[in-house]
Amino acid sequence: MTHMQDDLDSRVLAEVASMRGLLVEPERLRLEHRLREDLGLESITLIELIVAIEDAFDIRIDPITMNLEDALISVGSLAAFVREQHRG
Amino acid sequence: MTAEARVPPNHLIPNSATFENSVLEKLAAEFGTPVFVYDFELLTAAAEELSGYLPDGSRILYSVKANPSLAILRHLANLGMGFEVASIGELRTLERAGINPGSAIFVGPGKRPAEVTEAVERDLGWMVIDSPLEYARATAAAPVATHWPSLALRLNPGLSGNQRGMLHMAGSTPFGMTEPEAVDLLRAATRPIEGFQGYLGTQLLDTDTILANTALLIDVASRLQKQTGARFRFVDLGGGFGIAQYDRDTGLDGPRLRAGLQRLVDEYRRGHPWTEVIAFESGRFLAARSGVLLCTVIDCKERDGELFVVLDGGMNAVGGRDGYAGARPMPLRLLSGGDQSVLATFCGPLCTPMDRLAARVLTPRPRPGQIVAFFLAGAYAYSASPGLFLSHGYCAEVGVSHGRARLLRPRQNIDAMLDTQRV
Repeated sequence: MTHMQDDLDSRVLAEVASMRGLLVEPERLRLEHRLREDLGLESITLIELIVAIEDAFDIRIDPITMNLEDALISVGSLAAFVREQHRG
Repeated sequence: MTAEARVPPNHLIPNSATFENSVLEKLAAEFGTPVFVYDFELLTAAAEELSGYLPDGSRILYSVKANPSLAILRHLANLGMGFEVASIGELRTLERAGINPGSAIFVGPGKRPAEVTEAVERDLGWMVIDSPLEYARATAAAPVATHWPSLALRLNPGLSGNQRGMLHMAGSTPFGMTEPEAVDLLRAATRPIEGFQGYLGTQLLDTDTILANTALLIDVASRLQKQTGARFRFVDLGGGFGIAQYDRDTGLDGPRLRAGLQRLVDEYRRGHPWTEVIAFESGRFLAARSGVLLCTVIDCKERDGELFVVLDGGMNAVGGRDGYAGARPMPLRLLSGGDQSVLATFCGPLCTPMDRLAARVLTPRPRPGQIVAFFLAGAYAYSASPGLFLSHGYCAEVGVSHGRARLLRPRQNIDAMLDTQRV
């Protein structure tokens, strides 16, 4: 299922684009890009991304107690997770 | 931008004479580093603070896993705390501290049959049954005990829709029984199950979430008794009381928490007059703020305008601690130094990039040989540390009470661990 890119998606894209050492040019970044395989993010950089997202959206994503497996697949899945946190 | 400097949230450093720079310098010199220092007055203060947040007459159960130091357990027992253990090793630890197992409850999935038997034989306070199979094991073990064990059940209420994902310990987890399983067990049990335990989250800072969790557990406990005729003498409503650790954290709203919990518990007690004990659990809230980790700067390396400060303690001392790998720093202080002028990343001695205690923080310029203090290190630090990884061993632990320091546990180097091995 796809949906129109909204403001929240754009903000998540901007945060991902600000990460150092991405394998994809920031301007070509899309929701479909996979964080690990396509963008080259790994343990430390994924944590840095989580912190950046927390600050940008004023949420807290506890890396130990929250199950982030489904969230940290692609830019789109991360945006969906942030949307879910915001909704509550 | 992710590369910006962070300022450590040092306003969260607990107020204590023990944590003065000159005192910590002396302790590091006397006991060596890396070393954990625990301030017992801060433990007392945390216990008093938490008691003030809970309904009158509540029992507090300290989660031994947070910090199983014998001296800390002894101190908390002297303050009237009960205990929550999650293994027979933790129950033996309590006994070694001179604490009666009757003040403990035994929780956790995956209790081995031998642990169930031993716990029953030791006359612990409440055996918290995690599954129907465990009930069968406990009842099979009971005839050898001098007293029939008091049985409670661990309830997993599933996820409710409006909890914003905060019920980390419920839903699809290995913990406890579903409500239908609990109903079946309460109806089929030939021995009375007279206690109830639930635990829904950890490090919670949102007062409304704690109140909602508590209300949810109280609802389930009420329904179970109504449907099955069971009568719970003991009701443990979990905890998850969080402390402010990071820059944007605000601590719990104590007065509102107390008022909300008192209202929920009063109403519950009115409908269930046979209730003897209402309990809450706490590990981090009680212990975390009492501890500080002291490390020595081993080396400093300049890379692209950023200073990497390599310490003798890191992940080897505190484990993963919080999962942020330093990207969101907790309070820290270089014990001697001037203005916060350099951008530094504090790393431990392990050969993994994950071994960071604080990344890109502003600090006075560190030099080899200086001492760095990492605060809020009294819980889930020593007991969660991988001391065998890279064979660094385990830190020393020091307790300070009324200004007097004493060694609680000596440093454990690799020799003791090698002695038991065979080639």
